Amino acid sequence: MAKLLLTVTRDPDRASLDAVKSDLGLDDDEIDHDFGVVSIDPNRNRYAILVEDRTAERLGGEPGVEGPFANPPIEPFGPPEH
Amino acid sequence: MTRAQPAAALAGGIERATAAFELDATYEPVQIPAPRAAEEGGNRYDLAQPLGFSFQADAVTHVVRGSIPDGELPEAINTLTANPEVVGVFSDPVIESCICPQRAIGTYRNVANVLDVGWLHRKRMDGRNVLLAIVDTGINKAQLVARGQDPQFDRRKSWAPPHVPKSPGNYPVNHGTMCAFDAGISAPKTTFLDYALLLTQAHGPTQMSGLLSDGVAAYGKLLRMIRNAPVARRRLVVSNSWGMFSPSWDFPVGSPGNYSDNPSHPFNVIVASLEAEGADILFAAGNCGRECPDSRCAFGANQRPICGANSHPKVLSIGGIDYRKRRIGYSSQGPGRLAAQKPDVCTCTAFTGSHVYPGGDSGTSAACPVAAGVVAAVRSKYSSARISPAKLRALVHKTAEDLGGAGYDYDYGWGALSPRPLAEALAKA
Repeated sequence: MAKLLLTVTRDPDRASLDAVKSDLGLDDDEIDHDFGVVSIDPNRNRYAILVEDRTAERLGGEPGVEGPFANPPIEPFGPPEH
Repeated sequence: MTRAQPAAALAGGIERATAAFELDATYEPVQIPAPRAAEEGGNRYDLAQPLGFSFQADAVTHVVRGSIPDGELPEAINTLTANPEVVGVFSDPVIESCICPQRAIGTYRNVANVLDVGWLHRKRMDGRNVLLAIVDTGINKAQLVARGQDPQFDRRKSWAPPHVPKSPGNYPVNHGTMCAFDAGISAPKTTFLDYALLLTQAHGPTQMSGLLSDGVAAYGKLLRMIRNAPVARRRLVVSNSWGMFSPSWDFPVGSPGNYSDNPSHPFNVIVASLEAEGADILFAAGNCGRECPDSRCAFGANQRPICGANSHPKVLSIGGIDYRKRRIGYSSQGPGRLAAQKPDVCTCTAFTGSHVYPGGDSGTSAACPVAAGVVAAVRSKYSSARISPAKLRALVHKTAEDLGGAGYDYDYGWGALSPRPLAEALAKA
C-alpha cells in the first residue's frame, strides 16, 4: 500500500503523534509511526505526516489538513546510464 | 562586413582606418551573397519570406574577423561604421558544442587547480567550523582515507532512515562516498553529516533510491538541529545529488498534491524553512540534458526536467562542465519549474577522484558536491547571520565566469562557479 504525505496546522503542544492520531481519528495502522510528525514550517506551525493512501484521501478535506501530496521515488543523479 | 574586392586588401584598409581594430590574418575573408526581398521594396533581411540571393560582385559582402579591446569598443565601432566600405560590425560570440564524455576528463587535481583551492586554503577557507550534510547513500570513510583525505564526521548529528542501521562513515562504498570525496576537494576540514537518505531501497525502483517522504524526515532532523544552534554560529551546507527521473512518478502538474511544480508540497516547504534558518542548500540540476540524457530520463521534449526542489528558488541548482569549462551534454537545462533561472551555475564533473566508479566521478551528482565544497570553504569565515544564504547565492551568481551566451542562459546558468572572485566579493560584502 502506497503512503502519501499530508500536512496539518496546529499548535506545537498538539503536534505529538498521539495528539495528531487522536484529533484526526486515526488508527495505529493508518499513520507511519517511524515518520512521526515532522515540523516543516515552524513559523506557521505546519507539520507533515505520512499516512496510507486511503486515509490520505479521507482526511484531505478536513479543516487544518492539506494534501494528499505526492511521495515520488528519488534516485541519485550519477553516474549517468547510456 | 565589407563591400569590395579584393577582400583581403580591403581588410587591411579597415585595419589602418582605426588602430583599435586588429585584423585576424589567419581568417580568410568569406563572401556572403546579398539577399533579395521577395517583393520590390521589401525587407531583404526578413527571413519569413522566400529569399533570393545575388552573387554579383557589386552586391556581395565579405566577412573579415578581428578584435577590438573592450575599453575601446564604442569608439572603434563608430569609426568603423563611418567607413563607407563597412556594412556593419557584428558580435562574434563563443560557440562551443557540449561534450558527451564516455570516461573521465582529467583528475580531481585539475578540478582543484581550476577552483584555485590552494588560494582558498591559504586564506583559511577550507570548510573548518562548517557542517556539510551529504544527503545521499551514506559515506565510507575508509575509501576517503585511502584516496588521501582525512574527513571528520559528526556521528551524533548524522541520520539514517528508519530500519536502516545508523552507521555514519561506515556505509558501503557507493554514490554518497563519491559525493563526500568531491566536496572534500575544496573543503577538507569540513565536518560531514552523513545522511543516508537513499538507502530505503525497500520502496524504490533501484537499489539506491528512496522516497521523498524520507527527504522530508531527513530535512526535519536538519531543521531541528539548526534551530538548536546559536544564530551567530550557524554554518550548515546541504548537498543533494538526487531527484526524479520521471514525471510519471509524481502527481500530475496542476494537481494540488503535485511535487514538481508546487511550492506548497511539504518537501518544498521544508527546504524553504531550512534555508530561512541559515542553511546553504545545493541540488544537482539532473542528468537529463538534451544532447546525451541519462537513459532513465523520461521527461519529454517540452517537459522541463529541473523540477521540484532541484529547481527551488532558495537553493543553488548545479549543472556540469568539465575542468576545461565545456558543458557536459547530460547536464539538465532550464528553465526550471519552481524558479525559471535554473541551473544557477555550473562546476566540474567527469574526473577521476573518489575511485568509486570505474568511469570516474560523473553526473551532476559530482558537480553538486564540488560546488557544496566551495560553499563550505567560503562559509568557514562567515556565519549565515553575517552572510545570509540569499546573499551568498547572489554573490555566487554575480562572480560566476560567464559561459555560453552573454549573461544568464539555460545551459550554464550564470556560468562557472568561481571561488576566488566569490571569496573576494564576500570580503567586501
